[in-house]
Parts: sequence; structure tokens; C-alpha cells
Amino acid sequence: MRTYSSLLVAAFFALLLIGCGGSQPLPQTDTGDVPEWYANVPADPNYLYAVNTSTSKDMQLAVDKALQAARTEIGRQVEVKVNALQKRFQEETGIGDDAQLLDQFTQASKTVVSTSLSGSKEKQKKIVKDGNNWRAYVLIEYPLGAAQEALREQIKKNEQLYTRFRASQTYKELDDEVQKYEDYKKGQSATPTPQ
Amino acid sequence: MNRFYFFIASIVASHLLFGQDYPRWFLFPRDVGCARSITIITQPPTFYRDSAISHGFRLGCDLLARYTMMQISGGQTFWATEAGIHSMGARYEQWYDTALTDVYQSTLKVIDSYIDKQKTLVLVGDKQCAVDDKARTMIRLDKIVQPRWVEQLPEDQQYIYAVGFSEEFYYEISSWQTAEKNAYMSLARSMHVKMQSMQKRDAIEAQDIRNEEINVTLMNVEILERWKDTKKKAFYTLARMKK
Repeated sequence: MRTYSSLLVAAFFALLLIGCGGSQPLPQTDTGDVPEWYANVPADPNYLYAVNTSTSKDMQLAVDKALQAARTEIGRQVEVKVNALQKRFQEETGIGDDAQLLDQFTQASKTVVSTSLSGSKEKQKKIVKDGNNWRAYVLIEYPLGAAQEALREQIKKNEQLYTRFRASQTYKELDDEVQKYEDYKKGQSATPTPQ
Repeated sequence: MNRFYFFIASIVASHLLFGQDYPRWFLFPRDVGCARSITIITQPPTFYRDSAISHGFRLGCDLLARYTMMQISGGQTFWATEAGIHSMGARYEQWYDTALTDVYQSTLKVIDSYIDKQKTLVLVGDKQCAVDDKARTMIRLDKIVQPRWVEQLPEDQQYIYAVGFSEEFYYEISSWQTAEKNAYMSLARSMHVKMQSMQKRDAIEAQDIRNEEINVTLMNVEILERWKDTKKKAFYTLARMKK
């Protein structure tokens, strides 16, 4: 019995000493694996880009977190573009005083931002070990024409708003951009698959 | 005591030696060349070899029915705080025409199969389909260099591409299956995704609740290639679908 008690006391002190032994060194990170495109995000007037990185013990969850954050960032960039367009509409047509129309436009803009991203492309992805976790780096690409097309369709849905804006220069520019995007899409579907 | 160490060593050795060889048609399904085909990985036979292959055939027909047309809906939410990003949950549902499974069972056949102690691989395809010796060549996973598509998706004007990932689970079968499932889920998100985000910021902290929802129909999904990073123990699957 005495032997067991001595062993228990010894084990207790041993645990105490281990606890006082200082913290473990942090697991090494694969910092050398940070992709070049993460630091230098591509720039193209026809596309929106967003990068993100995230970690998780679950590999797919790390990717999902990073992708979702990057797509959310794309959504915010679209919002900035739409807001800029709204400001131009206001200045050109003078709807700033028309609260009802302004509200309709704001609703249209909000729908575009929160509705959907069709054709957002996972341009680049890289997964590395980060200590005991997985770290995912992602680069999302989104064609700006897709956002402009969505905005135009929202405006078209509202007859009063559409009638007011149809004649404006800003709307013509928007329409031209969307037309270019539609032509680009048609051209893409007509091109045969490279072997 | 020596017997015990020998037992442990033999288990470790069996894990290292077996399960690393795959027929070419499993790693490169795009090269099979049949009008309609699918590759399946499933459990090794417990007793009868034939039962494992016929089980794989049924699974293959079912999976092909899904890949022919499958509606996926659902979403997932994350809560980003100063302390990190937390998953708030995910829920996805899949619908597909199960009648197609029966059709495929009567119109397709087992083209080739491979069995070892870790897995059963079955290649299912059209009745006219056949594979040559090149497609049957066994390939060691560590002999394949990292394909370009692992980090950069192929540029193609007619197809949407996606890569599914998985870490290594105890059963390698689970890793391949997870990577394949993640590949078609990634395809679904590339097609159309609804993003919602609510940011809150005050003097002390900032947080962001992000939600994504999908409701899309995938049609004629193809699994093109598979690759395992033997150093990082990660599994990758490349899938595509017509735009």
C-alpha cells in the first residue's frame, strides 16, 4: 500500500514538473509555401479578384472557409462598383431628391450584391501543412460583366426605374459593357475545346 | 515480446507495401475512351471476390445516375471573429433519378476490376467498351509528379472544372471518396452561389457572419484524374462539367 502511495506522490510531482517545463515550441509553418499570386493579386479591368487564406484541422473545411471569405470579398467589390454606378445615375438624372426612385434603385443594387455570383472561378488554390492544421490559399476570379448584367436585369424588372434611366448616358455605358460581355460569352461557347 | 514487435512491424509493413499501386484507368479515367464509364473504389472482399465486384458495379451505376443529373441544394455558414473562423453548420441535399440506376445496371457491364487487401476497384462502362493493356498498367502513387491542375484549374471554354481535396483517413477508400464528393460540390459552387455576409465592428472587435447557399443542377459530371500527394498525404480529384 505504501509503495502505491509513494508512486502516486511521485507521479503527481512529475506531472507538476512537466507543467512547469515551459511551453512547447510552436509547430513550424510552411511559410515558404505562400504562393506568389497571394501576395501579388492579379489586376484586370474586366475581372474582380479576391484572395484569402484559412486554416482548419479538416482539409476541406480550410478550403471552404477560404473560398467563402474570398467570394464574400468579391461580393463587397461588386457592391463598391454598383454604388459608384448608382452615384453616377444620381448625378446624371438628379434622382437624389426622388426618395421613392432612389429606394427602388438601392433595392436593385442590394439584390445584385446579395443575390448571386454566377461563374465565380477558383482560379488558383494551394494547400499546405501548417503545424497540425491544413492551410488553404485561394484566388477567386469573377467577370465584372456578370455583375453588370445582373444589375441591368434588376433595373429592367422595375418599369418606372427603367423608363427613367433608359435614356441616360450611364445606362448606355452599362448596356454597352453588358453587350460586350454577352458577345464574349457567345464567342467562348462557339470556340471548340482545345485538345 | 518479439512476436508482439513482429506483429506490429507486419501491420506497418502491410500498410506501406499494399494499397499504393493503382491501375491506370483508376488514376486517369479520362483516358479510358468509352462513351460512358465510371470508376469506383470500394471495400476489399470479405469472403467472395465476385460479391465485392458486383457491389462495386451497383455503386458505379448509382454514382453514374447521380453524375448524369443531380440537383444539389443547401448551404453553410461561417462565423469569423478575432479568434478565428468557426463553422456554424452545413446542410446539403441531393436529388437524382434512381430509375437511371436500374437502366445503367441493365445496359452497362464491368469492364475491368482490381482487388488487393486494401480496396476493390471496378471500372464500369458500355457493353461495347474495352480497355487495353496500357489502361491496365499498374502505377505506384509516389511515381506520379504533381499535376498542374492541383493548383491551377485547366482553362477551357466549354467546361467548368473543379478539384476536390481530402486528407488521409485510416481507410484510403474514404479519402478517395471524400475527394470525389468535394470535387462535384466545388463544381456546384462554381456554377452559382448566393453569398450573404453581415459584418459587425465596434471599438473592441470585428466579426463577420457569412452564409452561402446553392441550388443547382449538375449534369454529366466527369471525373478526369486522381492524384495522391504521398508526402503531404493529401488526395485530389479533378472533375468537369459542360458550361
